[in-house]
Amino acid sequence: MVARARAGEESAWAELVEAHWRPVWSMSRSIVRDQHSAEEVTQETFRVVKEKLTEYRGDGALCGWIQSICRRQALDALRRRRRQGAREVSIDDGTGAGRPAQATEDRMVQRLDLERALALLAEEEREALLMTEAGYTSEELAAALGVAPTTIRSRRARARVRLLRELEGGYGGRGR
Amino acid sequence: MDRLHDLEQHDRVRLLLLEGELPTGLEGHVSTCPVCGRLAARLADLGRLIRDVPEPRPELFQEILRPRRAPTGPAGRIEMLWPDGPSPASATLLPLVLAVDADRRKTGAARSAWAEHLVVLGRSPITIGRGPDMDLPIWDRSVSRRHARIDWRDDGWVVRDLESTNGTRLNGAKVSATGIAFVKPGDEIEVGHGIRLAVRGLLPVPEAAGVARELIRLLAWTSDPTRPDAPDEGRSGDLRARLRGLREETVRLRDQLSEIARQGADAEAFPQVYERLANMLALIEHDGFPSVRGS
Repeated sequence: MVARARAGEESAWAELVEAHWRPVWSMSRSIVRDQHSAEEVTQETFRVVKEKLTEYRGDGALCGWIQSICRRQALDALRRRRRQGAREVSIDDGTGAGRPAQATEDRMVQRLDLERALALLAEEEREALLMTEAGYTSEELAAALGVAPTTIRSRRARARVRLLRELEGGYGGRGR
Repeated sequence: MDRLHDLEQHDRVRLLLLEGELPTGLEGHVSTCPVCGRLAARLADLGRLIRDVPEPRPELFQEILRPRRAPTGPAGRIEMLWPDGPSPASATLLPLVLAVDADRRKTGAARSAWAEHLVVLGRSPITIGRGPDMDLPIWDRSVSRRHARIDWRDDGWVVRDLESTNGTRLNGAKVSATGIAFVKPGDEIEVGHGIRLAVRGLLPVPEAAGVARELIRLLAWTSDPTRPDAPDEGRSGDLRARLRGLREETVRLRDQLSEIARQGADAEAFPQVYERLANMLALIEHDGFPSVRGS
């Protein structure tokens, strides 16, 4: 499939995108959080994949290679956002039109609380945590960010402590 | 001693849990210690919550396959009514430039509505540039203040570069400041970086109404019945009579154009009106009548 896509075969490329766009989407979405940026990261990832398909050596799983491109795009997006200053994270649930069911509503509330709590974290802490949840080990992240693995681990720990504290306050009654 | 060991291990496990990489040897502690067990469960919930991302829009897949690309079409267009065929009228009469439309935005930006709609009658040159005084102002950094000009010569319309910084191209070939490049329908003039103007020879039906409205505005001068006749000094009665005739003709043309403007789609009538207008303009030019354009 890769070879055919590389040769410029449209159907093979469509097949490749079909097979990989959802994982790329979830990773983008879980890292950059808001729908719009996640879409941009997803599209940009596949643009790069298409461009670099000729450089793909074929060793290692294709999904790993695509994910590493996605990670780089997502990290870039996070950094761009940091440079732009504390921009409000747009919170949308993506559930679309129609009245959401009760379960969806609960999930939505939880997600809103989470977004709010995430927004309170320091940028590095958030990055460390979200990338971890997207499936990266501290070693991979450390290499990508140019810091020691222990730094990633402590950032992650700090992020979790703060998040739990924030969310505990939110889950029970008002305040904490 | 045992208890101290437990406490040490307990703290270590808590930290390792928070850091996210618990060595397999310590799993036993998590399963027996209620505090660490609760923390592990809460962290697992948190992870699930973070990973629980909404479904993407179904269109996203299609958008990945067909990425938003810079539009390849022209950024603007120049429309001219070309004399159709080598009829005697078109051989002797000048063609009228009827409409110049330009999208001020550079290609790559979202397509906006045509920003300019300009009607030029007669032999007036069309200036293109970034300056506000241009006939066809194009607001783009790569376009010089005075960038290019389209002139009528005896044998057709020509485009010239006005020594612009980024140059002018006609169908991809560079146009020099001194050279002559004839413009014909179907050509593409490019100014600056990628600002392309399609030269079209036909007037699309929906535009006919707009053009007609512009013509009415321009004809207002000659057809205004309250306006005194052109200065009498040095003009014969014969000329006055002809001017009156011209005015009547203009009024008739205006009425026809009003009809086109009102109906909007009756492009059939347009060539006839054009022909008569062209004839009239030829007479006016021949007699040294004040330019219609200056009104």
